[in-house]
Amino acid sequence: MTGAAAHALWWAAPARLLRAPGWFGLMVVAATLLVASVVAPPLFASTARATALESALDATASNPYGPESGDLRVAWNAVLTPEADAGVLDRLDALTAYGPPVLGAAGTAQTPSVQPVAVAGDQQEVSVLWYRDGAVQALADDLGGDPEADGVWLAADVADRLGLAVGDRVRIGLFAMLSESRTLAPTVLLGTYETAPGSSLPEQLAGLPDADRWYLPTYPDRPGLETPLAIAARPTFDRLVLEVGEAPLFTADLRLDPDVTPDSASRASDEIAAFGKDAYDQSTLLSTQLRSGEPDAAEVSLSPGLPQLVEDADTTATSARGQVRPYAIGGQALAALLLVAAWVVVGLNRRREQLLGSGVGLRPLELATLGALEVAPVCLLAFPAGVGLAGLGILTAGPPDAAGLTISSDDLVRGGVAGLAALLLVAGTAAATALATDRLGQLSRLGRRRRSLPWGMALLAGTAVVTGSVVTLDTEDRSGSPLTMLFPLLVAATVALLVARGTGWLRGRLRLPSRPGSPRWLAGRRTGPVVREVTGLTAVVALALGLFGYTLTVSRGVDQGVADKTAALVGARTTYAVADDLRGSERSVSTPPVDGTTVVWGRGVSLPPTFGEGPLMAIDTRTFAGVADWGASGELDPARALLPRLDVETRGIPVILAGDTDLAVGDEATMDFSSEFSVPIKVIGVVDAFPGSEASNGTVTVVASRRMLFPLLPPTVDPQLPGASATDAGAFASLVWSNDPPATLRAAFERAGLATDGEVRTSEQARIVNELVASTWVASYVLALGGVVLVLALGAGIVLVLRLAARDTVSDVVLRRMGYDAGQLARARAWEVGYAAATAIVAAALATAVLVLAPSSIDALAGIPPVSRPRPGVPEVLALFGTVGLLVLLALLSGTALARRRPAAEVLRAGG
Amino acid sequence: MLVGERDPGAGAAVSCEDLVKVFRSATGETHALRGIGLELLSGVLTVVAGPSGSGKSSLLALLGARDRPSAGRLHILGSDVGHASVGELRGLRRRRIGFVPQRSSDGVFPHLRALDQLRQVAAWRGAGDPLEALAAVGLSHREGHRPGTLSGGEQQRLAVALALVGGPALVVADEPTAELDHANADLVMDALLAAAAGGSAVVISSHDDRVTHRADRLLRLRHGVLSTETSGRRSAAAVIDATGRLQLPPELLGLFPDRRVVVEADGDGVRLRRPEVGP
Repeated sequence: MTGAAAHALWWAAPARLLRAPGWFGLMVVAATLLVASVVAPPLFASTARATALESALDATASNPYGPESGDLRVAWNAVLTPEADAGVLDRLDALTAYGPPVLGAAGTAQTPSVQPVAVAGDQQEVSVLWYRDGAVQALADDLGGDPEADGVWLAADVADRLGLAVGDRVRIGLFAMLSESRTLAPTVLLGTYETAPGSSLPEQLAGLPDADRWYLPTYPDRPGLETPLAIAARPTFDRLVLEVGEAPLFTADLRLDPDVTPDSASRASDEIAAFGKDAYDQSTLLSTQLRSGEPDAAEVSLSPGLPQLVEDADTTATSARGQVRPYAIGGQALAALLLVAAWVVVGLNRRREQLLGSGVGLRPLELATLGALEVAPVCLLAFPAGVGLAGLGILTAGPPDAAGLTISSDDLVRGGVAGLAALLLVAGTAAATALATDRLGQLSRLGRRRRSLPWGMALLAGTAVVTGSVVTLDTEDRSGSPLTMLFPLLVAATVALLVARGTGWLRGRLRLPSRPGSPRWLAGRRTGPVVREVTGLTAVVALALGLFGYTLTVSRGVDQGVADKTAALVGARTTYAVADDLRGSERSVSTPPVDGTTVVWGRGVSLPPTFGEGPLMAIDTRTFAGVADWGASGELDPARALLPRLDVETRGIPVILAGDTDLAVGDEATMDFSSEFSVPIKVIGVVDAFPGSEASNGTVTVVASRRMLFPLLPPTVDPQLPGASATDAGAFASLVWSNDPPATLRAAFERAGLATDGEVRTSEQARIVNELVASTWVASYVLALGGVVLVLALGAGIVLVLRLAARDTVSDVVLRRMGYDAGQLARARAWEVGYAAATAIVAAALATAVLVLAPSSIDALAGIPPVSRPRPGVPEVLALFGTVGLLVLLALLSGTALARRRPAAEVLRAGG
Repeated sequence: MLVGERDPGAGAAVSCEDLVKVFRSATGETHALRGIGLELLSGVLTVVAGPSGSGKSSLLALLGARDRPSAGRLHILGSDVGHASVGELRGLRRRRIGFVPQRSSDGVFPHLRALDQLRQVAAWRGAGDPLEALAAVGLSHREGHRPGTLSGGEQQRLAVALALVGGPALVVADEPTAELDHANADLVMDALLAAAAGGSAVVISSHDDRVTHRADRLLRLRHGVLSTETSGRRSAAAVIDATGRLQLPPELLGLFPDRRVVVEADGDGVRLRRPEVGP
């Protein structure tokens, strides 16, 4: 006998499931979900990090080089030797994630008393030496000339005033106005150029990419006015600055790779830090190169923005990871449960074979190994499928940076480990089933009692304990607790169990009227060995549907919560801080300054006896409601309803208090302005949050109408009057709120003749800075998790349908001989599934209602009011009913198919 | 004690005393066996007959070490089934007991070809090539087929072959000819008798006269109690259990409508009569 033949069970096991495509598919789906649930969270975190970085880079894309930009500018202040110069640029060129350095240089000796000049004869014009890689070449290409020649290019108007023509000698240098002395060096005018409008750059250069961020010297006393340029090639520039004693500033501009990944950005940050450190470490080659500078050793300066952007991205990603962790763990637990349940269901259909295995003396370990061998192909398939599904899920439901999604070797390892875990789970389940089968006989001894765990009571007790723990936690702590997922799971399971048992009890006592012999009559009378199984499966469907409904409410709740918090943080889509410009040319207030805006005045006030200041918002009640962001959930609506009452005359100024305060509606108090003066107030409303109430520090924000408040203020404080200045201590800050994006608002300001250099805050920025954007991604993740739970619900429902069909295999044959046709039998089973589905939907609705009304455990940023809580909606109801309808339809179709499939003789001989 | 005629000197593969089996359910208890005492000898084919519900399958499940008694003593191949560990019983079933379940489909692996099943079981029992067992039940031509492609009768014969492969010390078959025609039933009985002749203790349950007539020993079971035993060509003897209980056949039971009897010694025999009715 060959070895293979002697171990036929083992050799046949790997191909076993393939012979049953239905079960194979079920196992593949379950194992794939498990692998995906393990791979997805780290993928989510890495994508969140990439998206956060990309968002931050997008927000700073047009910022000048410096700490507010991801692009890098390295500057030094001496002429290096060609070798040292090349060495420094090579070092910069090697920086990860950055493009090649583009070198620029300019004279910076210009002060109010020292002018860089071009001199021809007695004529002198201001013109500063300037160099940029490719600049002379561009001029020569367009205007003609030798780019390598020694000389300078001057602006045409400068050359005209000097009376110079191309080829003439010209002297470049510095003019000290106090001593009227000049330090000049001779050179040649290589050419002239026309400047671009409003710029000192030649027309040929002004339109080049990034030209608006090049370093261009300006007049010290007129920062907005650029100094005319004397553009030279690099050797000429170096020679002239050294000869005239100019103070050169070399700038190497490096643009960040637009496809930079967080890892490469992090490496680049480290390399930038190392560059700065090496520049001042005298033992390094870089330091040696910099010391070769003339007239003095070069000092390097750099203020990169990338490290901060990377840190911000990491913070956002960490927040996202922390927020998603409970749901990730919940998803993994559910996927593991689904896999085990799937294998148990496969086992239920092989009950006789399990008994045979036990009967022929197969050990549990052997049965476990057989199980493992059987699902090995499943796990092999689930590994790539799960990794792919995780990637697809993140692409469709994760953070929006699809380009940032990369599946690393770590992800593959996680997928492999998850596949192995799936294998072990199945093996463990098979072993447990075998042990249970073997031990059944031990229970028959007289005097022994079957000891079964009181699962129902254990579940109730567990739910009570966990609920108690959740309630006692702070709202903010709840979301990070493992209880976040356990709590809804237990609540849904408890409700499902109670409803399933309750309806089972009711069905035994209440008979709905039906015509004897009809499918519905038959459905009401069918029982059998799977009654407990049907109750259990109904509970599983109810649990899954309950969790599905809950995930939908969580997803909506988180999304709406983010909108609410954003409204509280910023108040409107765009807020623009303006100084005194609102007064316009007539020096009288213009409210609103442009259409579609409102003005909010703010400053700090205190409410004695409470210590410390909180923000005061003086609003224009006529325009405020239409412009302010009122969130999405309706939590802020009560405050909106109070707005008209702010203009109603009372004993004190009517105010709305937003935040945590001891004052209550109807209370009268005093609002103190820095102990300089005070105003009586009457509280007409206390709310958790108000648009913009979280924009400033303070526990309570006071909201008042400007019409009621300003007449009571001293004229020097009233920001509507010409006498008040925004720069005075204690002055009101004026902010224009708008629903438009910043660019649109800026354009409107320009048209209205208002300054456009005020500080801008947007809701988008607020979402990023306050980690709210991470919450929106988590909401998407939860939605995807809801999809998994829906699969579980559908899977359990399909199993229910199949088990009922299996139960009825024999009785269907008998009933058909009694006159029932296949359609009637299918409808009878559909009625049964319908009963179970109705039970499940009642339980799911109850569970969702309980979870929605329970203390919120989904707000990771509860420090920012209002608190996010699960919010139900019509789609949830439609989804639940749609799922149940699908199940009943499946029962009807499969019932018809199954009833016709097997020949009666075969069914009766096999005993079903 | 009654024993089979074949090889009476062989040892008892199975012995039991006061064997009780009670099944519990939500609706109460069912006493399937109520004090069985017997021995099964190696080399003897014993048939257990009785009406449905008499406890045949329960008794065979116990004899096959697939269940434990609720009370009483049961020794199988030297192991006390009531107290043996799960592993010990598993080892018995794996290597020394061949079992044919009542439903043929319960006794075969559905995904293995016939010959592979036999080879697998033979490997567990340390036996050689199992083709002989397959030939013994007339399935040599179906060795490459899986159970799904075999008829009910062929599946039953395959289950018998699996039970016989490797010559286990004890063969237990629950109605092994129930789905077979005459010729195949004879084939299976020949194989089982051959196993007994080879030294195995063989016990089968059956209603089939063709089977009971070929048994070395016939035990009749009624209401969970052994009522009669027939060995070879001798007439059936009623069985008195360890507590002295005797079960009357139904035709005699009718003589005692009030279920009371006077027992009188009559030389070597015993005389039963209805008690006299008082005034």
